[in-house]
Amino acid sequence: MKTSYGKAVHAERLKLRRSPVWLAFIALPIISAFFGTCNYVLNIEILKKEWFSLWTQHSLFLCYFFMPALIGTYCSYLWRLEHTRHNWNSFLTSPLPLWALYFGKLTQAVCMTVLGNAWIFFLYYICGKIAGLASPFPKEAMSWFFFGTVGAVAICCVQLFFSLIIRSFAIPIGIAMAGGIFGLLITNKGWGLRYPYSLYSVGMRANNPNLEIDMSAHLVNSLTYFFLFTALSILWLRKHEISAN
Amino acid sequence: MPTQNLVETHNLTKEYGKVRCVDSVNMQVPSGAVYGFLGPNGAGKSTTLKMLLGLAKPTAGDITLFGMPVKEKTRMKLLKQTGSLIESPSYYGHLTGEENLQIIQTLKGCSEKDIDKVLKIVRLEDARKKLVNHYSLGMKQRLGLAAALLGFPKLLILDEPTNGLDPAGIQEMRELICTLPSEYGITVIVSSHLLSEIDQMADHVGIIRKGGLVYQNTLESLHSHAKQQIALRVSHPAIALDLLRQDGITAAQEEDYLLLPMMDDAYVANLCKQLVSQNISLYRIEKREKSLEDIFLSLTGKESSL
Amino acid sequence: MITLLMEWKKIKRKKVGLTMCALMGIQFAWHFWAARNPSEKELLQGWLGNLQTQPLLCAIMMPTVMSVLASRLADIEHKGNTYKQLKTLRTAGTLYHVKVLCGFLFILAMTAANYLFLLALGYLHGYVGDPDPKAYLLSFALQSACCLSLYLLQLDLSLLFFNQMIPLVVGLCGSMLGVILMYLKTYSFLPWGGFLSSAIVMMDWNRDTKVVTYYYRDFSSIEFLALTMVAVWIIVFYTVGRILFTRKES
Repeated sequence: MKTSYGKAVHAERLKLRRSPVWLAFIALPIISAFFGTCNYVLNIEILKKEWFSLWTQHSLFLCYFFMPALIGTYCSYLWRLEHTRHNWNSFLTSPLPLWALYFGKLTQAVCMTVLGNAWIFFLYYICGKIAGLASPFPKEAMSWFFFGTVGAVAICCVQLFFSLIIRSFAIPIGIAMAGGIFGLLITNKGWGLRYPYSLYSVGMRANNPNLEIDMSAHLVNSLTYFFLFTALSILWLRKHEISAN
Repeated sequence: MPTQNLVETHNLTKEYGKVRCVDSVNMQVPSGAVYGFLGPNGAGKSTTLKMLLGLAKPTAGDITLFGMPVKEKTRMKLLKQTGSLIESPSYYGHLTGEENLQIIQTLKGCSEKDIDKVLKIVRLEDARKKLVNHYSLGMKQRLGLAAALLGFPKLLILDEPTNGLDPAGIQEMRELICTLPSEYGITVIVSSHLLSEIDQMADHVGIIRKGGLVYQNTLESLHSHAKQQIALRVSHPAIALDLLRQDGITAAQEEDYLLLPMMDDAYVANLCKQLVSQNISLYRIEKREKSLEDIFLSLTGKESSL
Repeated sequence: MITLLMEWKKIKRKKVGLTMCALMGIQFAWHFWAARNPSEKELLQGWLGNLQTQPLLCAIMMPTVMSVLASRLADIEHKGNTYKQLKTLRTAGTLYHVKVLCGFLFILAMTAANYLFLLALGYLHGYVGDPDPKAYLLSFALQSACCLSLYLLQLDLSLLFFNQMIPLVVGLCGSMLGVILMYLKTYSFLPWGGFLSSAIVMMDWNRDTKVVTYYYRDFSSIEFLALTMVAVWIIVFYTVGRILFTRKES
């Protein structure tokens, strides 16, 4: 016997068959890694800190602009499955609690984000080797990966909420992009840990591998956004009459 | 006393803004029935059915399904025993028919063998490996029915299920719906704007007009309303009417005719003699039948065309 | 004209304008932030500097913004499954035309808002002298043209694919390429490089003195060729899109 959550996750996985949306998570980091590495190699006389310098080239644009928007795209896709073809009727009459239905979606978003993030680090490692970096792979990368992923989960929750309440596919992605860019300003002001779209880039230490972050604040804030937007989404599913058109 | 009705609503009302779409509906669907929910387009059928499923929230009134109130707490329990097809069929176009059913099967937690069974029932076995995007509208409708049938629920709610089907498909759908109570013990609520369709498959009928339930009973009793009458055309209707009243017959005057309730031949013969003896000339004696269609129209109002 | 009005009615309540305003707002915020507390030297070159930063910002943002706009305009038809109905009312060519025109009006409005903001920002900070109207008008026209080329590409994709993830990811990749091209060269033949190819003001940064100097670009023949590519892309995307849309059986 599967639990409600298990059923929901399984059903979501079935829905994603035959749609190669994960390709985007493969492709975008490759572009970024390729050009980031090229730029590193071409400017090797100023970028002297080997792995750390390479990381600045890999992470800057990816973390601020593209991962938030990419996560937003994926979240939009997940809800679009229900926003189209009258699927709300069938979705909401399935005999599962609403929280399970929501977590089914969130699980897909989080899985994809974690894999995407792991892929970024894998590319970082490979590119470093190709660029011929002699020093060992920085062990700090573990922390970047961990906090980056935690921050990305917070973005997943926020974006899932926007994509749930906004039927348009594109508008939530606009929000994600705007959120990411705005995050650049926020981070610059030093408020990066308070703003969901910055939690990712700050966690990843994008463009600034030496950055010391307040780890507990990062975790607490990420969790706060996680709970807040999860609650909002479930509340919306419960209170709002979503019509299937 | 425990209720015999599988579905009951009490003063069920739904307002969208200031518009009252459903107005104090008291619906009663007996267990094992095929309940035909009849009404012109926009009368509030879909909204009522959506409220039964919890897809829309009532402004006022309550709903009882299987003797349980429809609430957030009972939602899951009730949905487990319910299958539905509301408005247009729901489907994921990039998946095959079979994969679509697998999703519903997973969510409902029913056996995988059910997929084969329902595919056979709706005759989609040959198209199971085809993408639903390439289905015709009728096939999508049948897939929707198959999804609703998965797990063989106790209650099936079908909103205009013959939409988009060809004549053969409509006939098949009707036959299928008729057999559901006896073969699988499923109670069916089926909505339609076509009286003839409901006439052919339902045994109970509710007629809704402008949000209000204007008629609810067995189909048989609706038929009995389709009564026969005797129509008389005479030279002096007023005198004739008086005469009839003295005989204890209630008659109504409609244009040139007097309308009398159905009576046997001997009585008619007697009546003629009486009228003639009073010097009233008899021009016509006709037998009139009021059709089911007329009743439906008089209940729903002629302005709301079918 | 009637068809255009029809298009306008269709996007009523869809808040397309609001979305675009919000995205423009982000651009403004960036400009505002980038130009805060200008030094004397910056005030002196402010009017020129504006024209240098604007294309860079566009190269990053516009591919995505255009994909959002195009998807927004095309997706209403996917969702309502209205192609069949529309194609019986107007020829497919007209429908495509109207989508293009509608998007172009948005682009013009956005670009105009963009440059008005830049002017306002300049006067607010008190940049020395007056803006060169010829340069600003030229930049305005070039930016609109670049946006149009990207919009056409995105519109084609959004109309062809039901799955809107495809065009949106292309838009994101385009933004990424825009950033990368910014590092590599000031011109390229790719559609996403249009903004950089058409930048009429360049920056010179002296590494030793750390002094920034802006100057009007002297287009070399290859750079000029890259600039004309914008027009080529517009024609290519328009023609291809129109043909594909007309042939598409929905």
